[in-house]
This record gives sequence, C-alpha cells and structure tokens, in this order.
Amino acid sequence: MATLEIGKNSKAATPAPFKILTPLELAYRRFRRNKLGFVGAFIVLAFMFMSLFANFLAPYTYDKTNLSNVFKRPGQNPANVLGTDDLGRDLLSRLIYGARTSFQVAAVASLVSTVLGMALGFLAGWYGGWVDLFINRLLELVGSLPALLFQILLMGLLGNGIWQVTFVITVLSWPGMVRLVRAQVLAYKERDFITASQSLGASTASVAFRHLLPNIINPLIVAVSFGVPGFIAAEAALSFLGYGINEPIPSWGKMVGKAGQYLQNFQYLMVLPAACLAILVLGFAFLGDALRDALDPSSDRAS
Amino acid sequence: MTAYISRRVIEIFFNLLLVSFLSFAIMWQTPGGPFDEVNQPLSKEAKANIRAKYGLDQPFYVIWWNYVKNAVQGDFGTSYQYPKQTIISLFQRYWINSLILGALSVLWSFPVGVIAGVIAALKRNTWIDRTITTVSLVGVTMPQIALIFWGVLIFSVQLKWLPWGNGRDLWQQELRFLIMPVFLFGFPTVGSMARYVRSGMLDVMGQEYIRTAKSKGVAYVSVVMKHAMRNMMIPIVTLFGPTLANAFTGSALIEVFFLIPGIGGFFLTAVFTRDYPLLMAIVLVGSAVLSLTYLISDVSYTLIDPRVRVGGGRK
Repeated sequence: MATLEIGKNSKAATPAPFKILTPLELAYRRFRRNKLGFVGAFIVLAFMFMSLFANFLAPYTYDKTNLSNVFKRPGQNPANVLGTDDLGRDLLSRLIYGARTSFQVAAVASLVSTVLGMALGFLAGWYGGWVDLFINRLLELVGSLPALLFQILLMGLLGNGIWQVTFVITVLSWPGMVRLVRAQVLAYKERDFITASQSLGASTASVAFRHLLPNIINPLIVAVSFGVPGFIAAEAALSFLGYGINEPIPSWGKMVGKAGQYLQNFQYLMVLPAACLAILVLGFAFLGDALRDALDPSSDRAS
Repeated sequence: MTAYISRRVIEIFFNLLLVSFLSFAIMWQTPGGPFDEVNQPLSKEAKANIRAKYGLDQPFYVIWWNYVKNAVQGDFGTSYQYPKQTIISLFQRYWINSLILGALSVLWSFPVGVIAGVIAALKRNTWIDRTITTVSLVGVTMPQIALIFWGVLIFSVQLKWLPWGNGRDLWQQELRFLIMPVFLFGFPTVGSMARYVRSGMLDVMGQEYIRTAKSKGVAYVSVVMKHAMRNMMIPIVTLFGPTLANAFTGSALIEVFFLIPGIGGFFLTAVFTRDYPLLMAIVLVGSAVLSLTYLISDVSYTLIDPRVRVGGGRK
C-alpha cells in the first residue's frame, strides 16, 4: 500500500488498486448496507408486480358482488381468503386492484411532475431573467394554494374518476421538482466543464442532456422516490373524502372511508386497506432513504 | 428591508388576485347550482329574481371584479346556506376550532421534533439515532388517513381509552378527547423537524469552529447549545412557515374523522352544498395565510442570519 501513496493522501488511495468501481457499483455498495432500503425495495417491487398483473393474481374481478356472501371475515370462507365486503366483493381482489389505482395515480403524477420540473427548472435556471421571474411567479401561485382544498374544488368541477384525480394531484405536484432542478442547474451552470463544452460549440440541448442531466439525475431519483408517498396519500385522502375514484373501481383510501361505518363490528374491512396503504408508503420512504444515501454524494458524511 | 417587505406584500396581493380568479373560474364552470331542484323547485321568474338579487345575472368577470373589490374591504359576500350570517362571522365560528387544534399541535410538535433531532445527531449511528430517524420517516411519509385510522382503531375502538368524537366545540370537550387529534396533527411535523434538525446538526458539528470551541475546552453542552443551535435556526424557520399555515388552514381529514367543527370540515360541507361565496373565502384566506407565513419565514431568515440578504434580487 505504502508505495501507492505517492503524492496522495491515504484516503484517496483506499479504493483497491486492482478494481476500479464505477459510480453505480459504489452506489450499489452503499445501498446494500442499508437493510431497510432492501425491505423498501422489496415492498415496492412486490406491490408493483401486484398492480401490473392484477388480472392474473386477483382471484375475482374487483366488482363481482355476491349479496349472499357479505361481511365474511378473513379466513371464514375458504373461497375468499381475506373475506368479503358489504356487497360480498372479494377483499383480496379489491386490495390487489387498489394497488393498481395507487400506482396509476402515482406513476402519472411522478412522470409529469418530473418532466415538467426538469423543463421549467432548466429554463428558469439556465436562462434566468424574465423567464426565471415568470416561472417563479407560477411557482408562487401554485405554492400558495391550499392543496387539499383546491384539489377538492377542482374535483367538484371535473367530477369523480381516476383520470380526474390524477389530474388534480398532478396539477399541484411539480413546484418542488422545478425548485430542485433550478437550484441544481444554477449550481452547475458556471462550472468549467459546462463552459468548456459550450465553447467547443455544443448546443444547449446537448449541454443539457449530455453534461447537465447526468450530474443532477441522482437527487432527482431520490426526489421521485420521496414524492410517490405524497401522491399515494393525496389520492387516498381525496377518495376517502368522497372526491376521488368512482365505484366500483377500488381505491385503498375509499375502502378505508367506506368501512368507517363498520368500524365497530367489521374492523378487517378497514384494517386491510389501511395496512396496504401504510406498508406501500413506508416501502417508498425506506427506498428513498436508502437511495439518497447511495446516490447523493453530499450525504457521504453520514457514513 | 421595508422596500423588500412592501414589494413582497404587493406580490402577494397580485398572487391572491390570480388565486381568486382561478378559483372563481373553477367554481363558475362547476356544474350544479345553489337551487334545490328536488325539494324546493322554484319557478323561472323566482330563480331569475334570486340570481339578480345576488348579482349572478352579470357576466363572469364583472362578478369576479365586484367580488374582489368587496373582499378587500372584508366583505366576502353572502353564504347561500347561511344567508343570515356574514362570512367573517362564520369563519370566526369555525376557525377557532382549527386554530386551537393547530396551536396545540405546534406547541408540542416543534419542541419535541427539535429535541429528537438534536438527540439523534448527538447519538449518531446508535440505536437511539436509528429509532428516531425511522420513526420520523414514518411520521413524514405515512398518509394522514392511515395514521388517523390506526389511532382511532387502537385507542378508541379497541382499548376504549380515548373518546372518538361528538361534534362539540373543542373547548367543550373533555381534555382526553384532544389527545388524539392533537397528536396526529403534530406527528408529521415532529418527523420532518427531527430529520431537518438532525442533518443540520450533523453539518454544523463537523465544522471547524465547533472543533475549535471543543479544543478550547468549552463545555460540550455549551458548544451544542450556543454554537450549533444558533445555526439550527434556519431549518427551524423554514419549517415554521408551512407548519403555521397548516395550523391555520386546519386539517380537513382530522376534522372530518373526529367530528371537530373546524374550517376544513366546514369547507367540505360547503363543497357539497355548492356554497360558492363560502368556498371562495376559505380558499382565498387559506392562500393569504400561506403567502404571509412564507413572507414571515423569509424575513426571519435575515434576522437570524446576517449573511442572508434580502431584496437584492438573489437569495
């Protein structure tokens, strides 16, 4: 080792001289250390799998009612493993399809807010001036709206439905992303490698995608992972209050809300969707935490 | 400083104008109206009369502009459902419950969050730290309805320790009733506060001047309290804005679930009854409160940290 340390401090030379790790491998190493992160990743993947293959996994369709088979507790009836609800619908099937609802809302909202955030954040940070001013005004407008109240107002206009819910959640979802991207762009804009590629004649698009994006993608991934719980919670809250998904499409939030009247006698009706909601959201949170430790170099100090 | 504040206030005013236009347009387009067609059908003439009385026969932008002019003077119009009371008095009636709930939550959640964050940072990478960070992660991300539900199920339904809700005002409730809503409202704040404070503390504790102070023999507690805590004020103030705004606008979910007659639950009834003047007023006031709290926290930055300059165009 000693011979390798010429002109360098020992810390810089510690990565084994035999194998040079790529940043991704380093990130994976850091990720692997975090057990909760693994649990989170597993939960998220499992629920994702469930929602993608709901048609094959669910024993029944989500809207098949059977009024001679209502309020069966979990395990009471072998045909319905997790029991049935007030209309005799199979609870397991509805929970599985409920995951699809949550993911659909969260996926669209994350995608749109990320793309919009990247576009507006880049414009604001890169061009500055009145573009920045205008985008900042927009951010302030959206940021000053009381979220839940405004979403409910919009739902009143649009009517219930999964796309409407997705829309009202997405509409308010992007300011955080814009702020993040803008700050990152500002931090990198004056750096030498950006100036260098510009002076070599690289187009703005090329600078943005080839040089800027790889540098700012990590905090973005972390932000998405932390944003998803918010979207899932927002959908659940709206549906819970009766401004979300229409019957018979299942949504965990709505299932919790509807089961409120049976809380004294049939608690499983509420426990199961509330548990799904809690588990999935925690999964994303743990995953996000581990991803930040793994991907965000500035959090190295914590290790 | 004065120039900065007055500029911000003007900006907030224009922002509110936009918000009012936006929500006014949304409600204008929303199907349904204030008339009860099923139980009290009215003749066409009667409806036209009522529309004229409330000024609803004019074009959209005229109604909006009239509304803004009156709202500036504190007159938010007449609620359709409660025509005998002014909207301000309705606000006072319902808001007080939200305010009590919010204030009590802030009172416990801020100190607890700060203390938890400091402890986590000082005991870094021990089981104490891991417990605090995990619990606060749960607090930050757990959807409120899941939290509320578990709270009610465990403490009200199963253990029967805490009463659930009877729709009375908060000051008429027994003290035990307050425990759960106040806890649930504050819990997410504790989580985010603890996380902010912890990471800020870790940043500060690694700084040279902390090492210098330590090496000069300054007592550990004093180092932490005097040097580190002062630098912790920034994240605390950052969080204070949204939390305060939350406390002001109330939590619709908690109010609905615990049958607290607060502004959030009141808003929901107003949506059901299509009580546009009331809805407008709630959204506008909520938005104004949010903007003001942001302004307050921006101004407080300069008071805490002289490096933060304000009004220079860049921050």
